[in-house]
Amino acid sequence: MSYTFDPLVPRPIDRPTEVAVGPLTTEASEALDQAKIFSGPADPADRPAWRETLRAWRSDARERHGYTGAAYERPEAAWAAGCSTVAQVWLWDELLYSFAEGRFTPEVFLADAEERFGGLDAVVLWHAYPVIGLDDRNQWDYYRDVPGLAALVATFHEAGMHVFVDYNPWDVGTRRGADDLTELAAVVGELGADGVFLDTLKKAEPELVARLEAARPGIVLEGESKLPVERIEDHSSSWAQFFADSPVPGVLRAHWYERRHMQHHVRRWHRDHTEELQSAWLNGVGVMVWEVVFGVWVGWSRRDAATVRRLVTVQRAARDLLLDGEWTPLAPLAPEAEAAGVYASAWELDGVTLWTLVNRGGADYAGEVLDDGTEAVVPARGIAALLDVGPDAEEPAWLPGLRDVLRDLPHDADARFPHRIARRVGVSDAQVTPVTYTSDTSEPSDRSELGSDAVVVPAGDYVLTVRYRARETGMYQGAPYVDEWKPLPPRLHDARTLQRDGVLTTPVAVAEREVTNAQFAAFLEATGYAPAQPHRFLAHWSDGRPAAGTEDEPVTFVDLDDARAYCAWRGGRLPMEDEWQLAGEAAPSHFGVERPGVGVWSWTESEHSDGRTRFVMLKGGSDYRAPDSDWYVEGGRHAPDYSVKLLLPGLGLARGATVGFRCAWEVSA
Amino acid sequence: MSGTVVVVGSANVDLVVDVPRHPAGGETILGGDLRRTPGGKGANQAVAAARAGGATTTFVGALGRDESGELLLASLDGAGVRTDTVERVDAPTGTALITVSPDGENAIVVAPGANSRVRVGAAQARRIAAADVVLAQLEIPLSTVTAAARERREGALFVLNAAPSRDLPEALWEQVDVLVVNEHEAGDLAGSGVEAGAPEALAAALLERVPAVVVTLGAVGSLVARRGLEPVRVPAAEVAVVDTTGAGDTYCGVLAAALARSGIAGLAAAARLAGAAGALAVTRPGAQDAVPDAADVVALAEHLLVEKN
Repeated sequence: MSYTFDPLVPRPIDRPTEVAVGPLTTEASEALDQAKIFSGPADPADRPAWRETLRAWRSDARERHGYTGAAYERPEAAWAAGCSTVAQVWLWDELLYSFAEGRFTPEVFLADAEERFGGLDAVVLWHAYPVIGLDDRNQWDYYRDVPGLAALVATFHEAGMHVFVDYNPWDVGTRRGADDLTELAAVVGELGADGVFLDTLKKAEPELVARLEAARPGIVLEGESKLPVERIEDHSSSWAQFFADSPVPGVLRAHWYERRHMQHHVRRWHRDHTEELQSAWLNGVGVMVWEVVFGVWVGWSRRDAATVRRLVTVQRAARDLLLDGEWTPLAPLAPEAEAAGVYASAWELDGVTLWTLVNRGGADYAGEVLDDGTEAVVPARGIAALLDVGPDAEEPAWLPGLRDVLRDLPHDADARFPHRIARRVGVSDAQVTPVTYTSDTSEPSDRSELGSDAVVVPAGDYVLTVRYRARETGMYQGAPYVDEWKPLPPRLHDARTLQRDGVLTTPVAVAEREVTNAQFAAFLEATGYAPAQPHRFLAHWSDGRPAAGTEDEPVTFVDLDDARAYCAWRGGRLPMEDEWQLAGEAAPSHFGVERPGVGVWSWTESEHSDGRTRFVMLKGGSDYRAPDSDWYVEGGRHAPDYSVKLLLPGLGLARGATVGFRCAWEVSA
Repeated sequence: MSGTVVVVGSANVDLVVDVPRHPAGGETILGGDLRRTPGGKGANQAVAAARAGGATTTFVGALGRDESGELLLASLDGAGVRTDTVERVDAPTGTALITVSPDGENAIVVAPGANSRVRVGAAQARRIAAADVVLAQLEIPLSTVTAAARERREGALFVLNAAPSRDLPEALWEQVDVLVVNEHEAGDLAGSGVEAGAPEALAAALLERVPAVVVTLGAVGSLVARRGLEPVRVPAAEVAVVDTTGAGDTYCGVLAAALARSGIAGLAAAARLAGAAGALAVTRPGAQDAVPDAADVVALAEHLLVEKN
């Protein structure tokens, strides 16, 4: 059977692995090492033998790999086994950072997580991709340069959460510091991180594991791809990213091998997470809650968020059953339940049995679930739990509290995707950073200067083709991928175009050159401008002056608000991205790749927000290019029709060595 | 079972006038504005099975070729009920004339009209034969109810809501898989020998004649009894009561819908869903307008953690 590519269908490597029942040969056992999920048998009669084969595989694999489980005995790492929900969060997500106030808002982020997801167990603080590569800052700079980051981590700790930092092994083309082992261990120590997320990796090299353990005893490592069986030994967690389940739900291989190994189901582009949640519920593992994927809103429906709340509430209470109980995947159920698509795992410990039930069907199930006549209602595509405290068993201490909490956790059937729209943050309604002007402001309005150094774009209708590279950021609206399994080149990182059209109501003059260091210095002297957030402001200057010889080079290390303030002083504003392109196509010698002088990106008046992500379109490219990885911003100079969507960092990190600006003026007829 | 329900029954337009007091013989009273609302037990239960129960639902009934018929068709269609087996006949649409006094007391005169013409023709029989559950009440000719029950396929359930109270012919008793009655109806059918006020005793007496019975107990919930099994009390949810008009029909419709998915083995769980739906219905005014959405029913009925024993 040949595989025909369809992005909406799991790839062969995403699919679960069939388990042949019967005596387990060495060859068969080694083949099962490669599984992501062991397929559940369709015929209930096959399930006892299936379970026995899985147990035989586990014993054999542990022996073959010399498994000891020592990493799971570290007390400082025990939290990972109970870490059901992890959110991947961009530092500058508007739930975590306020652009208006210029500060982190963990209280807002935590309140939202509590209300919608029942609280989170951990966060991965995402820092560099997709903005890294704009200049030579490396991944460590993007953590260390953030004012107050260690305090933010401490706040999450106080809220009872654990914090992962992110390691990008592909970052080898930016400014070089010490080697990755040294730098990562240092960042872990400086921030007090509890874990490291291994971006694009399945596993870390043993030397890195040892260095990190020395930096933070009990460090938890979590890889992005399928973790090899032999490394379950020293990686406490792993993603179950793009793991397709079988029609009769199966068993996660890594978690079956070691119950204390936490896995997080994640399908980053999906809008229906029920299959991930059901697998998490049946396996006793968790999910990654990832609502903003590199600037793209992939929010969770009310139904799926409610299911997370319910799942984590029971898992937290009954964790001892899930970790230490006798686990029976695909526990026997009443035939009617099976026929309706209801499946269960059973967990038994000290005479107490918990069944975790899922309803794979599209209709609510109300009926018998066990052969003894026990009934339950399992919502469509939802979960339920059944608890039996045996006649000789003590009621678990956690049960009364759980009963109380669950009273306020109803199922929510609303499965609609909660769309967000990115809207332009206009100058008129933006909360512009306050600036300080001296009372003797002089405002040049030399028309002859404007006439001599600006390209006038006529008023009227326009249509533009914009070129860009397909990154996970998307461009203006919506997700670049919806319900897709893992996008790979050429569906990722290939050249694309989009069309923009509009009307210029007045002619616009766009400056032929970027504002220079000398011009910006004159602005400062005339106005006394000081940004609300000074971090990195004009970092390339010394003693408040441009370095000798750079007076005529473009001013950089300014952010959008700095640029806006200057242009306003000149009686103008930043050009819209379309105006920039129209001017550039009219005068390529001043805007194109052959333009004279130092090449820097241009800020444009194209700031957008969808309520969670701020972004702006950059034009022009720069003379800097980070080599060797497609994950970097595509550097080098670009033609006027090329745009890059830049997610805006806060706290001054938007200021960089390679971004300047030009002014624009509306010309009266 | 895939969840297909056919409701065979009555459809009435309710003409409602608020009056300061009910008129005496020969007297004319000025009342409030006339309200025309869709009603009829059969139509109400079909709306409930579709909207609150989430079942693919067909209504088998008869309407006149008049404005009232259009009103009722629109209401059924709006709830997602299939109406292609509704016949339009040369009789007025069933009509209930209702006066309501300030203390909420109703005086009702029902003109059955087209409801007397409900029949099971070839088209209706085909639809019934495809159903998982056939649900009927007693506001149409009993011969039609019996005929409908006979057309169901083997394994499909016939649910009879024996309301309003009437004596049932033997031919109809023989067809019943699940009997749904309130306490008064249960007492009437069980006969004078059974002690009043004892739902379990009433149910036991009825089980002599039918394999399963559900006795609805209003705010207390319901009693679910099957031959050979211990009866089960299904408690009702506590809600603020606004109008009890539509609760009984909502209950029956949702019970049928749930049984259509789970089969008779799920009767008690179906009663739990039905009780939740009925509870939600009493929080809103009206009959069909009070029928809740399926999502709200499940949210009220289900409990994430079910404890055995």
